[in-house]
Amino acid sequence: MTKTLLITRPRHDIPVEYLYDFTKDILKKIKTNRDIHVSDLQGDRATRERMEFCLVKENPGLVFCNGHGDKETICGHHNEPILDKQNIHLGKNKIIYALACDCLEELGPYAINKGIKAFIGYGSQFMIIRDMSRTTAPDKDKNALPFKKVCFTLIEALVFGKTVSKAMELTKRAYENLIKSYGTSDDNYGDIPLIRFALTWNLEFLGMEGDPEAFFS
Amino acid sequence: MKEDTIYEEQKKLVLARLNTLNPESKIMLGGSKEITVKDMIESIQQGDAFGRKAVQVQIKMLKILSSVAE
Repeated sequence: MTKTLLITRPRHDIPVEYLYDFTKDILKKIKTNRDIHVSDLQGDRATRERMEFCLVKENPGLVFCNGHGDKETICGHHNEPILDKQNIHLGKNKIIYALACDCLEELGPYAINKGIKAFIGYGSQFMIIRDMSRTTAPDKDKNALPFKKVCFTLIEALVFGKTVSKAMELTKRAYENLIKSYGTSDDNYGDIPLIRFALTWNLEFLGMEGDPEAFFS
Repeated sequence: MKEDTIYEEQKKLVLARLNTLNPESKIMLGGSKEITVKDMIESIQQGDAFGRKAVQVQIKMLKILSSVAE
């Protein structure tokens, strides 16, 4: 049976352009799998109206949101709130993974009360250290690679059937390995200590609410 | 040792470390905001919410790094 992944990935400013770039590899990998259908709300298609339509009509098992956020909101194109306390009930019986700042803090527990199976997100800001000379090309930014890698680890595990708790475990291990092993040579701008700090920050505030045994179905 | 005293010791350790970095280096946060190392040092010195989180995270990072040698 075909499973549906709904993904939102606006790209209207630099931080979300990085997140947009982070999603490319998983979408490429899914393309080779006929059992997974992707509803891709990218760029200016990441609107509240389309989000609600897809949640209701396509009934995705997994919702992967990339964008800005705050304690109560996940945003889409031009920071339009696309998921918040008013419409989160549309995610009932689904897994939501929000790569967005702060939303685990209030929207996460609220979502579980409204019947969402599991909510994965960040309980504070999501940090990235970028190479200041590469601001217009996230895919060429070496500093962004470790952040991209851990984001890929989590969504790959979820997409290919790991439980939420296993996906979290693999991701936390990937964070720790990167923090320990990230290179000390070739650091002309002194970015490495900050990259380690930002990875540790993201590790510290990554969390989940709901059923740890939930999986994409 | 009291919790406050431990925190003050951790804060000193973290500030000593951060003072070795380029104060103008930037961290990109969500919401299109960026903060510099200098901003982070000021937050820690002022003891605001971000500064307290930064101390907590720096100590966690040191623990992870020190676990390599175990």
